[in-house]
Amino acid sequence: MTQPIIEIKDLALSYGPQQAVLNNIQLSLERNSVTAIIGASGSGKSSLLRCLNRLVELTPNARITGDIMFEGESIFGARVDPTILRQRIGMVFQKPNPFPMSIFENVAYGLRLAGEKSPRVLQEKVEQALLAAALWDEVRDRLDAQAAVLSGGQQQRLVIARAIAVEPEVLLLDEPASSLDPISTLRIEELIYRLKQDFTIVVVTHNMQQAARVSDWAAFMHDGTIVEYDNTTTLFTNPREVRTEDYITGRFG
Amino acid sequence: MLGNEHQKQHISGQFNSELETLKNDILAMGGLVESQLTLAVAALLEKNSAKALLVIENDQSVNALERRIDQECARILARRQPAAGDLRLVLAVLKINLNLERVGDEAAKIAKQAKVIVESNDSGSQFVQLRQLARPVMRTLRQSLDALARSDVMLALQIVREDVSLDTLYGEAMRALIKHMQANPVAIGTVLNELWALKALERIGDHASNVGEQVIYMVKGQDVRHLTAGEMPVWHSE
Repeated sequence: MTQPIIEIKDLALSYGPQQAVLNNIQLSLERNSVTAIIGASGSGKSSLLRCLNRLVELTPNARITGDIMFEGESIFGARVDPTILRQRIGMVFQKPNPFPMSIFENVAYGLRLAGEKSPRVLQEKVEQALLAAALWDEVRDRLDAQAAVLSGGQQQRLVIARAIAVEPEVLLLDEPASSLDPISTLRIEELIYRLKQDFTIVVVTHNMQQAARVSDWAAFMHDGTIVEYDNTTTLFTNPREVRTEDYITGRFG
Repeated sequence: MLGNEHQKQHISGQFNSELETLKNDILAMGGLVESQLTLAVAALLEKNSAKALLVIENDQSVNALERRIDQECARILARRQPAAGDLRLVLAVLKINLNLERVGDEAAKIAKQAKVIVESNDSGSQFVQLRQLARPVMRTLRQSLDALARSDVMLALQIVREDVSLDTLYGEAMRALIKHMQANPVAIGTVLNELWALKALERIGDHASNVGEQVIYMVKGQDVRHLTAGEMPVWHSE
């Protein structure tokens, strides 16, 4: 692995006493690759994802120890503004959450927030983001329509367009396709595959076949720890740990 | 037991039973071609055309079982998307199935040669070379099926390593028969039939070795094909 873009060191997270969620997490994320985090519900996947852009701090009583290095610098450093961090490390959630405004304004939202005022630049960047999110052809004639009229799969791609419009370096996807039909799911997966040229992607998924299809690296989590982390082909053909094997083959003890 | 070292059940009982059926069928395939080979060799050495005919007839069952096992594999791949040990099991079974079917074909070839030899009424040959090669080849095939049935990597590795010695035996037998033909040109017709049978035995040794390689892949996830003796991984018996 070349110089990792993100390096997680001895990370632990709890939501108050007796409520440890993550333990002793060590993980290096490779630039321009897709890393999948798999594991059962409650294993800590989403919490780990939310640590990466400090979203977890919005949860009451969240306590983090250890460190996360992003491009060689701690994301918990005194000079780091969480809002800026979240622009550089964007996030897309399970349920598509377009804002109650037009398709255009949804994508332009983050750009405006960042102070972009030029209509020409906005127009250009919105189009680029929609193109990159593979949605442009479907919405180019109705950019002023409400985002709510789009289908679930389109809404999810719109949200991805909104996230990439501000040109983040890392994209965190939390179950991005779990509420979508199989065809929309394949579109999102194809999109993930193409987006890794420009971004580093971390995807949390319940769907193991999806993890196997889209990711370059895969981490299996259990009880707040990373049991195994390896390149995806190895993890899915010849895992080292019995617990990983049991989980991905659907066995119980 | 064939497959995973640790005997855990799938959450899906249906998937469990599909994998069990597949394991049973590939072992049945092994048993079938092994008895085909034993019968074919007996037909030849005893010059018994009834046994030869039986082998030729039974080849149909080998082919039918080959098709069924392939279908089971395709169905599991399509419907279950197996991973890890399950995936390696299905991939290994596909290749083992192919190799065992070829063993069946070679056994049928030996039976056909036996029939030709019996019908030619030439009772001269004592099949010295055939006897010499038949025993170790049959033993190797047996061992490869044992390795499969018990997921025995050490035994599988031994088979793969020892394939060279079968090749050496085959080379020696060939040279002896050629010498024999040079000395007795009248015997060329019979000896040629022996040569065909000898070649079939040598191929069966290769197929048994391939089965051993697939057992190693199935259990360890390591591809040992086309490795030299020095490149072979070392495992310690558990």
